[in-house]
Amino acid sequence: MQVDSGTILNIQKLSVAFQTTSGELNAVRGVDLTLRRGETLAIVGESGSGKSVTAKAVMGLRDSNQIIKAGEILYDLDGQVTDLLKLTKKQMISQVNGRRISMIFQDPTTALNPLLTIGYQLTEGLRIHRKMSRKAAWERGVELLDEVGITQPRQCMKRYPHHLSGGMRQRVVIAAAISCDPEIIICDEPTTALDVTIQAKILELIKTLQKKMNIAIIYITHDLGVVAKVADRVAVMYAGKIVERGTAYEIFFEPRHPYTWGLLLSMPDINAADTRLYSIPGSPPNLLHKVTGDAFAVRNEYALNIDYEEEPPVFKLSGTHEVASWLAHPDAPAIQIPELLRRQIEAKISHGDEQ
Amino acid sequence: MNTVNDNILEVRDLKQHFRIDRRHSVKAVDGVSFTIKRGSTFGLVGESGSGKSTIGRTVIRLYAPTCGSVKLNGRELGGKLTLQMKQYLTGRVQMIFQDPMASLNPRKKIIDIVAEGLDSNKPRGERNELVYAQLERVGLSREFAGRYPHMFSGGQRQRVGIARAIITDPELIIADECISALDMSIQAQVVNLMKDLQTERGLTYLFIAHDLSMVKYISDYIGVLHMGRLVESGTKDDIFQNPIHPYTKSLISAIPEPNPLTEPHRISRVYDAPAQGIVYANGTERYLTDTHMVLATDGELETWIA
Ligand SMILES: Nc1ncnc2c1ncn2[C@@H]1O[C@H](COP(=O)(O)OP(=O)(O)OP(=O)(O)O)[C@@H](O)[C@H]1O
Ligand SMILES: Nc1ncnc2c1ncn2[C@@H]1O[C@H](COP(=O)(O)OP(=O)(O)OP(=O)(O)O)[C@@H](O)[C@H]1O
Ligand SMILES: [Mg+2]
Ligand SMILES: [Mg+2]
Repeated sequence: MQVDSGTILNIQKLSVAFQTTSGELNAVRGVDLTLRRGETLAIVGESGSGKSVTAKAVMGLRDSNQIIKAGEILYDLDGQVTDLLKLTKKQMISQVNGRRISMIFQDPTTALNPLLTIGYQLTEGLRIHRKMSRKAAWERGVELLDEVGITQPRQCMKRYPHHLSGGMRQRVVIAAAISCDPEIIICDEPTTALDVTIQAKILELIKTLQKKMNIAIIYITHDLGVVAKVADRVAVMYAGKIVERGTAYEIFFEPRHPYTWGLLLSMPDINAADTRLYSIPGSPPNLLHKVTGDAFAVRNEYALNIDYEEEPPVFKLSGTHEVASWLAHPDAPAIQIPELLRRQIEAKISHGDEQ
Repeated sequence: MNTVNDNILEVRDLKQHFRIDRRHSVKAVDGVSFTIKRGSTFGLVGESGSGKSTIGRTVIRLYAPTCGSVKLNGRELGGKLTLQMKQYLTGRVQMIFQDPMASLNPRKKIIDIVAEGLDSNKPRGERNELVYAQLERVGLSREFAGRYPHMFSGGQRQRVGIARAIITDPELIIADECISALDMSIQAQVVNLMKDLQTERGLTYLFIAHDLSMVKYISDYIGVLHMGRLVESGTKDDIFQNPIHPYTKSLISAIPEPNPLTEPHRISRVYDAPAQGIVYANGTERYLTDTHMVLATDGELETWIA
């Protein structure tokens, strides 16, 4: 990697398509991402914009109808910069998955085998990757369950997944993901199925482990409260592309892409009266068809003529802030951030200053 | 009974215990009572594993309750389910689930999925027209009817789920985490749609979710569940403006705020029932007002209110 030593993962121009009965679906259309040691990068964005597909590409989870159109995923494997896309499934499993990069999925039912006890599944990695004895692994398993907030860890070890609620199952999955001290954890909606008190505990737990073990985290979520809690940097995805990226401060308080504006405006304001919720008009583009220009143009009330013709390049707004929107072009008319959003941002900043 | 009943659903002392093996059982729901007013939204929140989904599933009789009473429009559904009661229940109560993909059969066309709840003897033309009408109502054009679920986005699939639920013209819809997998803008779309349908048709919702800001937005009444017990219930303002039970307080304190200046440092309140000496079995339902109930002993109530 011709980058500084802080970078642990470098995704370059990743494009992923799927062969479907209705043609080729371009799910990820040129994604660049870098992840630095010990940081948390949140990915937010539209449902179906390619967040999970990007994450699964890093993990080498390849659906049979998946086609990698372009790009590379560079990772430092024992001092050797390696393109993970070039590794075989077998190499991924033996060298990367679980040990160095582990993933926590949204749906814990798919991550756990219904026929095996929690204890067996939790200790499997420890026995294989860490070469622990059965007994030591079992004790470590109990500890891990305790760490993720399961109240009767010893009893839980003997249970089967269907005995647990969705929330408890997810805690088991998180325990398994951290069991082998990975360098990178990709969290795909890991706390969506959990109540907020357990969510808070788990986020704090992940943060503590992250600090202790210097883990880098990619955190995919729709919950902007969670993003505010965990993220150092945020990437916003729409229709297979990253449309804006920046520090958490930049994305929450200085957003520049109209899609980001819409997303921030759609949150119900916990302190406000019950007005109708804002939602972005229209629906996302069909990625079975070729996208001309800016994929968001048809839903963007500020769209310029060029938005329908030419794809916007990436404009640098600061050392950390980038946006792919023609509105950021120096010759574009100056469009102000929506009034309601501006007021919400000011309230949040002044609330932050008070503390 | 032919009197108009203000409460569409009345649940009394509902218990749902699951046998794990000969010696163990899980008390998933352990004596829960609540009523839902016709045309209102009752939000059910609480710890993962506290029994929210189990309550929902028991109401639509996926499970027979261990004991207690469940009344729909004043009719008892709790005991042995007669064929007659089953017919009464089907169509009047519908459920929408979290994962729209998993709940939609991938091999079936949208038209057949949406029509599932309809009487199969209905003439085809009439059936199709009904499906088109529901699809259009949820904002999907009729040309979608011939497509398969995988061709839809998450938000569109959830709309299909809603279209399927409303086609039988139900009175009560149980929405179990029905928006949590969607992005904020689509969540807003779906919630707005649910609210519009409520105004139009007088629908009642039992809305189960973890996202408290959304629950606050959509609900008129809220019940807080913990370890199979309803520890507090009341109007939305009772719960959010004047929470009494320490579990409710910890839950509200844990809602993450979308503010990167404050959120990273905020610490939520810890709740630990045994450590605080709280035994739910000792508490009884205390009404602070007509609407606001807290599960507590005399002593607990005194300290919590002080
Ligand atoms: N195996 C597959 N075959 C065909 N299409 C697929 C496949 N896997 C994913 N897709 C499509 O790729 C697109 C991106 O999906 P992805 O799961 O990455 O979305 P996402 O951003 O994670 O959305 P969400 O927020 O809803 O989880 C979607 O349109 C999805 O339907
Ligand atoms: N069929 C079953 N057999 C045995 N135990 C069960 C069964 N269904 C649920 N349980 C147990 O009952 C309890 C309540 O589960 P339930 O799914 O109702 O919780 P929940 O409040 O919906 O949780 P979540 O927020 O995680 O979805 C849990 O301890 C669960 O493990
Ligand atoms: Mg996803
Ligand atoms: Mg549930």
